[in-house]
Amino acid sequence: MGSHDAQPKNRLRVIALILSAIVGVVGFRLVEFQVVQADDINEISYAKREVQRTLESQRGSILDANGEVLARTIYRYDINVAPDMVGPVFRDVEGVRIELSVGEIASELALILDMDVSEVFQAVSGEGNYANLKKRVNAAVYQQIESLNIPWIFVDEISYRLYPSGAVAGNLIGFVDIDGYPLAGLERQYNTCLAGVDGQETFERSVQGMKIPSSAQTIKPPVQGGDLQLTIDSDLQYFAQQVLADSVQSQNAEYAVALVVEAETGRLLVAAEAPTVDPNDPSLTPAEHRQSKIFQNSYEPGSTMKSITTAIALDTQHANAYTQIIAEDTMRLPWGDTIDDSFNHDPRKLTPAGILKISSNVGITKLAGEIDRETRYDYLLDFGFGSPTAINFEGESPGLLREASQWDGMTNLTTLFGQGLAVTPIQMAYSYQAIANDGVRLDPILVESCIRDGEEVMKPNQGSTRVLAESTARLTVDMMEKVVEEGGVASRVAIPGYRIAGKTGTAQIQAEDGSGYGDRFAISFFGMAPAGDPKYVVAVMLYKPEGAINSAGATAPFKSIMSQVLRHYRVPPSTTPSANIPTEWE
Amino acid sequence: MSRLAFMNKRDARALRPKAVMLLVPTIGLAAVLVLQLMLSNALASGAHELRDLKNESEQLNTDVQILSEEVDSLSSQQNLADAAKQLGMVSNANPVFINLDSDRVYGEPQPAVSEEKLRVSGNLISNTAMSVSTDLSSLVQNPAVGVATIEISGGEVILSSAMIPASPTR
Repeated sequence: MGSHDAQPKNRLRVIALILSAIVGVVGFRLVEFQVVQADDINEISYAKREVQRTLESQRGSILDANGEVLARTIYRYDINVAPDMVGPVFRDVEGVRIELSVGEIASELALILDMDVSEVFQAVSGEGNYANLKKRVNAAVYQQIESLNIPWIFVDEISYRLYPSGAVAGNLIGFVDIDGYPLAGLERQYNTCLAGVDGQETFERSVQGMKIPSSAQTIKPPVQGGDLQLTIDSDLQYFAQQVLADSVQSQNAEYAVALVVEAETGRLLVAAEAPTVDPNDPSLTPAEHRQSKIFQNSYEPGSTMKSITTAIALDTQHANAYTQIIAEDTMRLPWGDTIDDSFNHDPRKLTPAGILKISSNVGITKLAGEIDRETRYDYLLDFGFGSPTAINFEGESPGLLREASQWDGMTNLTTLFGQGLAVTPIQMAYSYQAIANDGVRLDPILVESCIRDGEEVMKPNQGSTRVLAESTARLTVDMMEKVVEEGGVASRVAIPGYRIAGKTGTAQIQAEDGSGYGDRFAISFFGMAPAGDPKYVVAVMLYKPEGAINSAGATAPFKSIMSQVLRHYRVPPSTTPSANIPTEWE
Repeated sequence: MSRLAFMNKRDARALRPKAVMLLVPTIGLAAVLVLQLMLSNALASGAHELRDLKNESEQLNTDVQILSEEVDSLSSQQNLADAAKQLGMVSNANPVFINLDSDRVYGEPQPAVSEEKLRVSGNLISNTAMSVSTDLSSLVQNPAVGVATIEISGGEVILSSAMIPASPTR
């Protein structure tokens, strides 16, 4: 009986022992997995599920003075195909399920993508899981492709830089490459403002590779790029570019530039060039016209420099409004060289205003040739020549102004009428701005601000230089007004109702082989209005127009642009007469 | 040592498990399953709605981009210049200015109609981003005539000084 009782008990004990052992092992492993190795296992598991994704930041916009968008970032789409998955497509048409062959789908795609059917068919018939059909299609095309609902077509969204106004201010704005990397102009110079900083997010994916909703976690939020606000008025810029394009075409010039400056603030309202570049597709423009000649090209200014020289002569009290000069049409120098006027004439009894009026090289030499060269050099530096402007545009030229100690006898005199030194159009325009602004040269402003998240993060720090006494500047404007009132070619810029002051320039151009001056000129007109209280400076320069022997070719575009500026900014007509100063004497 | 003992029927019935004991967990389990089913249905439907809304949002974003690109093109200076030209508008190279205070006219008024007076005709500035342009075909039946044929209604407004006819559009 005792052995019968003991057997079930032993069996129970054995089973209990085995069960305990199993529970123990499982429990041990449970503790090991859930507690001891929990972090490591979680990490391995998360690493398998986790996907990291870059949150792309958007490049900021470039705006004109009125907030019009000149550049912004949109999306374009790359249309791709997975050839391995290509097959017939089923589509419900009016409740009927129909099957479309690959050929029929290829025809549909070709029509939308503006491609040959054979081209599409070749791409979809390949091998592998990726082939590109077309790059950078616009949103309308993308939408049509999406509506086809083809399971083996997939689309990549790509950031794309759009310049809605095309070539308007193209030389200034610059452009980016296909990957959005800035290559030229303000796009490149102000990349730190415009470029954003990409962010990063992680999310978990399911076994099927799908994103698990609500698992997304932003590790680093993207910082959007700032907006760059310019001083350029795009409507006026367009008008000036139209005028220049027309002038370059009709006069067969190599290029032309025009600037409009607000005299009292130094804001650059127009910086127009022809030819110019359409940043949407820079490849359509030859490389030499993709840059900004206003900042990057220097030239010998010629007679427009005579206004500057006259101002220096007045400011150093070497001359006044009544200084009497007898100007012959040629002047022999002690070392044998001669200085000639551009036309033959009998000796003329001229005042400084008269010298400007007939643009006499001999007259200006007699008027200011005695001024100490160091003094003149210092004035030229104050006028802004010889160094890049404060805009510091990409690749900006400093021009060429040798130190006074390096001037030989001839250079000492030729610099009086704009030879032997080189200036950029922006430098020359702002030297006139100094005269227009009562003798104070302001640093040019092209970029008004950088705005990020509604806050201004950058503002220009504008400097100023008093170059001339106020009375000197005023008198110089009065003298330049006589150039328009009584001058020959210059009188063509007269705008009824407004007093205009300005100066012509017909500058010789050094031959490329260094064999002296060639037979083509850089013709220009620099002026300001209203002369009684100058508000705007307009500068026009045409480089190497065909057949030009004087600056007449620059007066018509100057007049067109100045008229438009006066209308655009609603400048009231002049109500006072010009100053009563003589141009000749008896 | 224990022994097995006989039990009377009443005691045995009392010890038998009651049906309610089985029903309660079964119903409970069923209720949990039904609730879970409803919950997962609701979640699935929410996920579908989320996906639909997301698709709609993407669609609307694409629509916005298409429309804003159209607006960009239509408001570009190039399109406006072309449209103005189609309407027969020309840029007058001889602007005339009027001083409203003194009623004085500065300049010689000349109509901007003859070709030689057009300093700038048509657009010369390229814009490859222009995807659409203004369609004026319904407005301009005869482009050669343009708006010159449009009669302006309304009488001429004369300033108090009777010197300058003022714009009828004021």
